[in-house]
Amino acid sequence: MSQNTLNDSEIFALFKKGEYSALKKLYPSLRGEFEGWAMKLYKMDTNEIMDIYQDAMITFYKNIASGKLTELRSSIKTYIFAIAKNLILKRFDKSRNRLTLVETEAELDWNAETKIQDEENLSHRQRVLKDALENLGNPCKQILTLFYYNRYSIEAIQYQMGYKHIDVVRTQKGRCIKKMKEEIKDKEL
Amino acid sequence: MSPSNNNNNLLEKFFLGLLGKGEKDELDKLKSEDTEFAEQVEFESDLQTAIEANVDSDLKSMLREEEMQYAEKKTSFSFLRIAATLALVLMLGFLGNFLINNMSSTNKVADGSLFSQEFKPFDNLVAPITRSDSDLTPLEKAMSAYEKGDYESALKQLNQLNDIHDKDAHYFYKGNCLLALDKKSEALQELDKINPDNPYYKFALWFKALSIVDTDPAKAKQILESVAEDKTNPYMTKAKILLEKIGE
Repeated sequence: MSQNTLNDSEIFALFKKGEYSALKKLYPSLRGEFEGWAMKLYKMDTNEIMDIYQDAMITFYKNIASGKLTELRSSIKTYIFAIAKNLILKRFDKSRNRLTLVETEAELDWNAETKIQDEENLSHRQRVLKDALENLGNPCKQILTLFYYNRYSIEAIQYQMGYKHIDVVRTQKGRCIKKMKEEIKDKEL
Repeated sequence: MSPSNNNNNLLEKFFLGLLGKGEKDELDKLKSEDTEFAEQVEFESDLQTAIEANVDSDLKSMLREEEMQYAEKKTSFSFLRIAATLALVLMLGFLGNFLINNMSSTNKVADGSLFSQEFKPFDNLVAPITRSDSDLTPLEKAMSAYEKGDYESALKQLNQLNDIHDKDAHYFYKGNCLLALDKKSEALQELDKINPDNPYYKFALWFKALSIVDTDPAKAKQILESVAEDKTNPYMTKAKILLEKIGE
């Protein structure tokens, strides 16, 4: 982690706040080591390895941002490599022509639930909602993301976004949901 | 609290993952009795999935861009530097090739066995080592010795393991250690224990054939033929080549 200037608690705090820049900063710190490790053990090509590395990084971010992961019992490197190992084994399992062996790791028991939302697996309405989100401005996008992705309570959103009262946040959130419903009304099947 | 406020409170807790057991039952009851409420839960669940997909794809794009920048930096070496590296690689390649050829021909003379020509211990896939030695589990310690080529120590540690999750993997790597230590009949005993349903079984066939290729080529040939016919076995090509060698 020599190139990474953020310590563990800074990474946790920034991920929890939804700071993408912290993930960008963490990315190069383990990249080379990961490539060597995966290439040696799993005989994958660089593109495939980097795809897995990115997914492992996003899963790590998501686990912290959503509050599923609040502290580490190991180093960040060990944790990310373990996520990647699971992702690799899942891919091997899918392709069915490579070895499929799963060594369970206690730290990752709950991790099976965390998945990166793949466009292909979305329902029609979820896809339409995703498209509508692209055009949704703030504060709606921020409120909805903080609530549904980062699992911020209404009080935490009030604090983070500087609202005077939690009722204002609740009303604003309600308006944003209504807006989303209207946005997709004519696009649903 | 009014019913509407109570419903909103339940919904909030549901999406924050904070529902208690009683509250979860209450939410399920509400969903079954109130269609409008059930639709609201479903809509917000879809919204949550859409938001997750949105953030995940933003993050993926950002990291892909990072990767592209990394790749660009990597390819921006000067021509001279690449040329110099290539020259060095070529020189080392020639030297390496020369040494390997000499060594392998020496091996053939000294041993001459098909086993010594073909045997290469299987990679450690059961417990990849990603931590320092002091943090390792007993299995990882054994496999760390295995990765370092210390098969005597790896075998000893594998024999001492108490908590074995995958018995077949255990037999497989013990078999590999024993082959590396040139204890072929003991290796065969371990490899014979592997369940045909286990993913290691296909690999084990190759190693079983190797364990007897110099002492019982007819039997080895039978095993190799089954490997050579199995397109899903990664050792298929190697088995075909070895079959040709046995036939010579």
